[in-house]
Amino acid sequence: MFRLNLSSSGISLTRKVKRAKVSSNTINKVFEVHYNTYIKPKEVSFEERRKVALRRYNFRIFISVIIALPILFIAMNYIMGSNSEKEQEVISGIMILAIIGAYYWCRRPVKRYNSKIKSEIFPEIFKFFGKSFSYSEKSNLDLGQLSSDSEIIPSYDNAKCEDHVTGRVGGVDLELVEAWLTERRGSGKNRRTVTVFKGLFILFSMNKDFSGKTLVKKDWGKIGNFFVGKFSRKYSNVKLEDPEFEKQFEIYASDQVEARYLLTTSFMERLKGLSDLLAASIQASFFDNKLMIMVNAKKNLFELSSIRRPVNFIRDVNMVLEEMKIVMQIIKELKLDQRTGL
Amino acid sequence: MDNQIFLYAIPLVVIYVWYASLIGKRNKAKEALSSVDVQLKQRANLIPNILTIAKKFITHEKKLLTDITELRAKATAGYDNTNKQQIQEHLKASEMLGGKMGELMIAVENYPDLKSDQTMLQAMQTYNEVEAQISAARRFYNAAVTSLNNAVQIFPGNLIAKLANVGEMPFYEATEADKAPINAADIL
Repeated sequence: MFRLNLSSSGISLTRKVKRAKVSSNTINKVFEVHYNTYIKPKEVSFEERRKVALRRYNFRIFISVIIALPILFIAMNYIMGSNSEKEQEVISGIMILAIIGAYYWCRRPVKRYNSKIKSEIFPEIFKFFGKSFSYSEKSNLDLGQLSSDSEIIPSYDNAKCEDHVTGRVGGVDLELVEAWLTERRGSGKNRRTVTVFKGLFILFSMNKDFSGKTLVKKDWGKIGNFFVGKFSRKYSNVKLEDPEFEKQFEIYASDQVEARYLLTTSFMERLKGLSDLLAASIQASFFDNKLMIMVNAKKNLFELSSIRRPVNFIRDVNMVLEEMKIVMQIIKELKLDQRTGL
Repeated sequence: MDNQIFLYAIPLVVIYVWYASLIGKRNKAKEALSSVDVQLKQRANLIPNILTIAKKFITHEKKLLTDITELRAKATAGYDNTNKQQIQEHLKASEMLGGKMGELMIAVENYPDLKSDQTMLQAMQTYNEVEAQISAARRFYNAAVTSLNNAVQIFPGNLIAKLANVGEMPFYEATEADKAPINAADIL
């Protein structure tokens, strides 16, 4: 166990930090001044906005229920009385669409309110990490380009990218995006949408110069790798000395020597440590003097408090600090801020 | 008759595939060796610059500088990459040169003027980068040699290797001095 310091802020972090439950009562001491200066003054106006949004939300739910109940009653009667299967299917389909539409209509004031928090409060939170940090709710990340550059992003039909953070820590440029990628599979009645990736794309500038590409993919076992091994045609498989690392990852690279230059024995240890630390499956790609790490995360990151609770940004602040702690830990764990050659 | 041709053909195909795999492994090891040489050449090119700067400041370790010059000449001398003995000597000389350069880097610590010299700092940084590249190339070479040597030593590969005149290749090992534990008192 060792303690780390978040360079500019001085927040102490322990190595073996589990994704702790986010506190909603106490603010981190180091952040207190920043919170009181930039965020707390906005709470009053946001409390007003929250009340308005909540009123609208409740009103819309009320209207929806009032309208939906009699229509649902009539539709059910009609369906039960009808002999035509086609008619029953059409009416059921219309009802389902109407329920989905009503749900989005009801949620709209909440969505707008949450969006206001993300556009007005989150940038203030991220300012704490330094002037170089910026946050935007919508991501302008060119996922197609990133996918073709990194070559570890699974194929997808639909991508939802949000919560885009950029900044610089200890000489390392970083970019973080939350992504949810889905793909339509099967045909006919088996046609379904499958989540192919949900989690974080984190890009770091590297402290080493390199020109080729090295991919650190999840190891699927001998048979699995054979089928997944489309990379082996383009890149050569790199066999590294660490059997534990080899069990966890499968490496493909355009240059065997460069792959070993990047994946030193100590870096392999760090990547294994990172995977244990996050308790999540990770994959990585080295390209264009950058390192991209894909972290699987089941839950939504940067999720806001319920609109039904009075405004208290402490929970949101603590949640952002918690998420950023992970990014800082990756930098420290992989020693990306040091030019050690190891 | 057809069956007889089939019976003769199978062992021939197996022997050919085995032979092709052995040659492939030998070529891979040679490719890895040339990667090592590229990096060693880079280091050899860098050493005269470091020595020129060091000579201006270093007063006591004259023998160390002479040793480095001699070893550099030995390490950059040509060799036959099909001769196991010559490869071994070439790699040993390179490793000894690396060891002596390591000693020089430690000696630099005793000369604050040299240590803070901007050109020296830059040269040392480049040298460390080259050392990291050598280390990576060495790992690639040793992996390729392990694969070749396993194929050459395990039956029936050993028989085919003899027929095809494919031999083992030496590992690029650390010198005994490098393997010895570091005495902190010598450095501090």
